[in-house]
Amino acid sequence: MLSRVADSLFWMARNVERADNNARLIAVKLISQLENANHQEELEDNWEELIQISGYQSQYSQQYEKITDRNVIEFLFFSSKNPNSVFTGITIARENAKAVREIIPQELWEMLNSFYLEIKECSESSWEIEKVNDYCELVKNRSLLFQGIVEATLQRGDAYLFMEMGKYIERAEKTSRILDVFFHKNLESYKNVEIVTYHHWWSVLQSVSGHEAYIKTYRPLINDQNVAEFLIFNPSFPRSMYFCIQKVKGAFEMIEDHHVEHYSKSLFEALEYLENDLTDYTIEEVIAHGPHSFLQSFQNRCNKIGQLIAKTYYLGEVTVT
Amino acid sequence: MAKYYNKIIEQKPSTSGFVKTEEEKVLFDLYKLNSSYDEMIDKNKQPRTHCYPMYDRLLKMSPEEMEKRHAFAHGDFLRQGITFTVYNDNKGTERTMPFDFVPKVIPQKEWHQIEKGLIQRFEALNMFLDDVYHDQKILKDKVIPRDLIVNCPHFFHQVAHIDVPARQHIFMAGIDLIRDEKGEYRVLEDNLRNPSGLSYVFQNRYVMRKVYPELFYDYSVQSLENQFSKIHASMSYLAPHQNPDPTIVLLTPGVFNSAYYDHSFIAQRSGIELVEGRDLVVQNRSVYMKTSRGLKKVDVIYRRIDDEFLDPLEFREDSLLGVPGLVDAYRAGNVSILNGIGNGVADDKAVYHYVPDMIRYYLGEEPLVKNVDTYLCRDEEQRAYVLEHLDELVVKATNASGGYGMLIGPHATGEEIEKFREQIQINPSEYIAQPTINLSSLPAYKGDRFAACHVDLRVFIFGGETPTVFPGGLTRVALKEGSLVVNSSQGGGAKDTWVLQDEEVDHQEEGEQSHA
Repeated sequence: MLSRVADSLFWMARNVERADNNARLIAVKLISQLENANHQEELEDNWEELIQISGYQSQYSQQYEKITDRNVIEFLFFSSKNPNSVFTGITIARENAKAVREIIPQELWEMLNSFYLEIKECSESSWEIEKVNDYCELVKNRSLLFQGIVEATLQRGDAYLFMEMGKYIERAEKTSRILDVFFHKNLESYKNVEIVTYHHWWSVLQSVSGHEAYIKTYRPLINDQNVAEFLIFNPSFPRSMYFCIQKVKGAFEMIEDHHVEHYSKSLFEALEYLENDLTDYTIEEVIAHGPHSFLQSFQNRCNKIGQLIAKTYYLGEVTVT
Repeated sequence: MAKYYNKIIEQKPSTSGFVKTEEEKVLFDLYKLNSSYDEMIDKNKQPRTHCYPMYDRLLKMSPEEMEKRHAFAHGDFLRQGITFTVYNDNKGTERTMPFDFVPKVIPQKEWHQIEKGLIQRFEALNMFLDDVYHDQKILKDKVIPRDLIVNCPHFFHQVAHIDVPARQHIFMAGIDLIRDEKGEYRVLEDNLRNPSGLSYVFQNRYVMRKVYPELFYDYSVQSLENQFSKIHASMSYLAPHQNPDPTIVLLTPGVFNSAYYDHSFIAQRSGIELVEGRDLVVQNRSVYMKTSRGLKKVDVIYRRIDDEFLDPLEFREDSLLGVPGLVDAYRAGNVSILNGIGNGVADDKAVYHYVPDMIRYYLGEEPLVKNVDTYLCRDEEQRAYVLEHLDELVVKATNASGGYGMLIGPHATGEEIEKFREQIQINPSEYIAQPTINLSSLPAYKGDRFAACHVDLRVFIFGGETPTVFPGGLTRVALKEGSLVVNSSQGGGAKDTWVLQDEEVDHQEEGEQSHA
């Protein structure tokens, strides 16, 4: 497969996943805004968290003076100036798809194209804040449809595997980022610590659609340690960091046909390293050492793996000797 | 048949617009014929024989129904992203090609004539290209003036004496046909470089089948489906060293090119890789593509990048689209480039004038499909005539395409005419002129009625073991009433083109219709 094509497929899948995750986060926050409607302070906190998760705080403060519902949603969902907004993600995914439309199933391209047109129409016409939940729902549904079409129609080969890598590396990083931001927040200052804590961690689970699976595993006992354990180490929940890294590694092994060649050695080692972190540590150790440093280092390694994938498969610029 | 006649004779010209009790009268009531040849309705306001069933079906459709389907067809193009890019102020906008659902129907006999004429032309043009880049016999014999050729901006000495596989310089030609006031087909233009539009031929058909299936019930239309295996075979046939299993790629300028959809569609349907310049690299006079598993040798490049941008080492140094060293690999015979480099010398608007002479010179035959009369402004006598008759003629710059750089005398303002007069006097050899031909017309749907809109037809011809004419082609329609410009960049649209399979519906030839 052409390197450029592999690159486009990787980023197409990665951006659909990114848009999906962002939409999920916004939807969850909207609900918790309603439930906590009487604490103005917390409302702002809530949105601030989201902006942090997006990783583009400085862009936000350049564009907007205040944190208001409308500003934040515009920034996170519709803004084409935010490289991480839902709309930007879909635009990039669609551009990538367009560049490889002869490679991917026609249905997949048509779906992404009309998805883009739908969202574009929302963002161009003045969007309504009351409908944000519907927009989020649309994004989630389209992302599921996207994955469904891939599962049902795409031949299992390099194209599929590069998309898998893109999707799961994005998901792993996002789960880690969400956990990190939520851990960061000091809840002790609130009056009803217990209830606030419960809501807090419950919304973490909701934002990765993990609340149902969590209850099946831990009963409705919600605390930071259990939630973190579930989202970091759970081997069967498809959004846990461990699960995602397994998937990335699996795709790599398939592409390489279970051999490690000299050109793919550093990528292999980086994946091993990351996997070991997730198997060698326990949640108690993570908490004891401070979850922030653990999650930070995980995110850095994910970034590194992204770069190594590009290097290994000549994605992006190559100089040929 | 009698039934149809009755119905049409009863139908009287409208005096009160389209408020009618019988809806079937409405849509064609305001249909105005002008001096051009209408391909569906004859001078007595009766449908031509092969159009009866179509006409009848159209009358049965209610305006509401038509509007609904029209919107659906448009949505279908948009959803599939079948768009071309229009550039304004450096900003590209994606647009769908306007589509009109009344097809152009070509009786088999008529098509057979076109086919024969275009294959003849294709072969002569190909022989001309091989000659002009080798021995130049046609110039030595003074059939075509030497200075016209060597001064042509598309004549590239860089590719002289290169022996291309099977001596075929043309892999795909798009020849534009029009019909004059008598209905006779004439060649308006030969496109031997990068003719686009093949994908639209297919998409128009898909949409027609999906949205207007009943229009097909009375006709048996030649299928397009098996054409891509022929196209692929033709590409393989032109591989270097008669390699039986060549790696073939389509080289595109990229996703921002206005014809990107065309490129992507052809690559996908022919089962070849779609590459950009940056995906290719030349090593040891061979071309390779960069894959996730390393370099892979490329044998045939169907390029959709213009000559000037192909190789910065040979042509424009500033080209970022091309591949350094590509022409050298071509020269070494290690890669085929389709269409050949330098083909522009044969589809130049002034050289066009000499194509009938080429046919006589190389094949010893009379041209089966005629040219449009052409005046070369480089010739003093002809120039004098042109300058005298600017308000009647169509003037074209020889180096422009896409409907740009063109003066349509009868529709132009005095100011425009004077501007062209001045330019012709400064650079006479860059202009040609032709009589204004009222292109033939076909009904086009206009919301509440049908209007006669001018059409032309781009026919695609492929080289290979034997040249093949693609059944049908791209009918382009000037959707602005009265306009003669059919280019999509200038508000033109497209129609499906049907070549009929059997003689059932065209057993009666109308007297008005004549063939070359």
